[in-house]
Amino acid sequence: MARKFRILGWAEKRSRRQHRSRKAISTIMANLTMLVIVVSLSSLLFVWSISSFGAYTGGAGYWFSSRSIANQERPTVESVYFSKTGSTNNVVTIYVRNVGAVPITVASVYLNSTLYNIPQSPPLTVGVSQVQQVQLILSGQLWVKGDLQTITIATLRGTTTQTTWVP
Amino acid sequence: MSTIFGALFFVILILMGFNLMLWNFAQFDAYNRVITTMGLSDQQRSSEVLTFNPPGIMNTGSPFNFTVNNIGGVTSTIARIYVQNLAPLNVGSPCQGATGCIADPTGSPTFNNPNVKNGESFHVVKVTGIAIDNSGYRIIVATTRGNQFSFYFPWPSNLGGGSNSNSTNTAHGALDVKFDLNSFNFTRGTQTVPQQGWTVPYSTNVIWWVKVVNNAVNPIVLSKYTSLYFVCYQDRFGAGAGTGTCTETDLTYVVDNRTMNPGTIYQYDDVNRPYILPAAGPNGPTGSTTVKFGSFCPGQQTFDSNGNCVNGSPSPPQDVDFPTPYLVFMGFFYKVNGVIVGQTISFVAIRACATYPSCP
Repeated sequence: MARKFRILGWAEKRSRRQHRSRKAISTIMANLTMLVIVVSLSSLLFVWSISSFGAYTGGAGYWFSSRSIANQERPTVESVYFSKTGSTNNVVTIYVRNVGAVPITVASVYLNSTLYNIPQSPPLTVGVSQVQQVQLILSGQLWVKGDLQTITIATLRGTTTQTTWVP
Repeated sequence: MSTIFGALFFVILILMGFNLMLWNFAQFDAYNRVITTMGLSDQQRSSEVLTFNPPGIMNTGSPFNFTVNNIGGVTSTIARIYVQNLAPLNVGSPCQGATGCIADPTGSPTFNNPNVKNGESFHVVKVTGIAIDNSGYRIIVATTRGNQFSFYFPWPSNLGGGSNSNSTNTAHGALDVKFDLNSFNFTRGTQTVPQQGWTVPYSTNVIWWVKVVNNAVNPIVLSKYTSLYFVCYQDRFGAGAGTGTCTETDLTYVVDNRTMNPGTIYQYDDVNRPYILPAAGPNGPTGSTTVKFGSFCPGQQTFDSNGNCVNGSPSPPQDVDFPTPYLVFMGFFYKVNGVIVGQTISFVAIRACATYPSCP
């Protein structure tokens, strides 16, 4: 009889231990699973946010920096001389002053809407408070004494200034 | 554990967002600083105004001077002076060709006194190294802020059609009439306040009030023979139509300045009570003088029964006899610096109307 009770007691303990063991494994797995999910999602979010912020700061930084510099450009046309080659009215000499805060590079000149590209080797750079001469040899048009001549100066950064002169 | 990790990442993300926001603020701040600085610079640039004084260049040859006034809100600094010759036929004149003449404060040709304070007048700038002559030039004064101001030499004459002024010179002699709306007036009857004389009643005695100035550096004393000469011409379109060819001329002599209207004419005494026009100063005429006309005879003369002017008084009044337009010339005789001078001013046109004050 006593032996019978001992066997029953062992089985009961065994049964109780097995039950407690199953419960313990389930909790750990749940925690681990949640941890893995949170870490992986957070990592994804972290990587995404880093790349997004990087892209944003890169683009916005470039915009801010380029616009800031372009906004400091102030080219002005100080004087224009209209002269001749022989008897042909085809020479226009322009004096461009930089009254802005950054050096400028003259990219093109328009005379009455006709484009005259300025060679960029070497570039025609005008330092701050400096003045540079730009000479155009006209082709396809001539200046006419007494007629209004519209001259537009464009820089590499896209700043333009327009003036009108009468030869 | 996962809660801690989640919270940690959440905090990191919040910090990153906050960092991004701060970066954005810093960028905007830097950008706005540039905009503000350049805006201030643009404001100063737009408040620069330089003007020049006649005759532009004060002397030919080299060096030459000109004066400039700063009527803007900031001190201006002249960066360069460009001299362009505008006389293409004058081959021998300087400053022609592709580059003209350029005066730079650090080079040659050069100039002095580049800084012009705001409010400063007649600031003299001397340009050295460019010899100009009397052919036509355009002088462009460029400032360090990027503005250009220019004038022409010789100084353009102030022609009537292109004038922005309210008064225009009508003569190039010492004595001048400033032609404006109020420079030619008249009184009639017992009037003591003159009214504009562009239209007048005909066959009515009047006193003419004419405003003149003295451009000379010496005073002018008017002679008793100073007069207005009215020449009528046929009016084919107005109240005078049908009166035939008008051949009338009227001569109206100067009277004493106490004269207010045709009823009280004081004879002009050019010895004891002459009109004296004060000498002009460095800035031009010294005020203006109103000279009155209205006598049929000069000086202290009256006319006899034959209509001839003889010594005596009272001074006979004068009118215009036809309702037609008249051309009015002014014959001025005066003494300046002891010399007798005669000067004719082609002056104005008036209309004498039968229906005055309505002159259709």
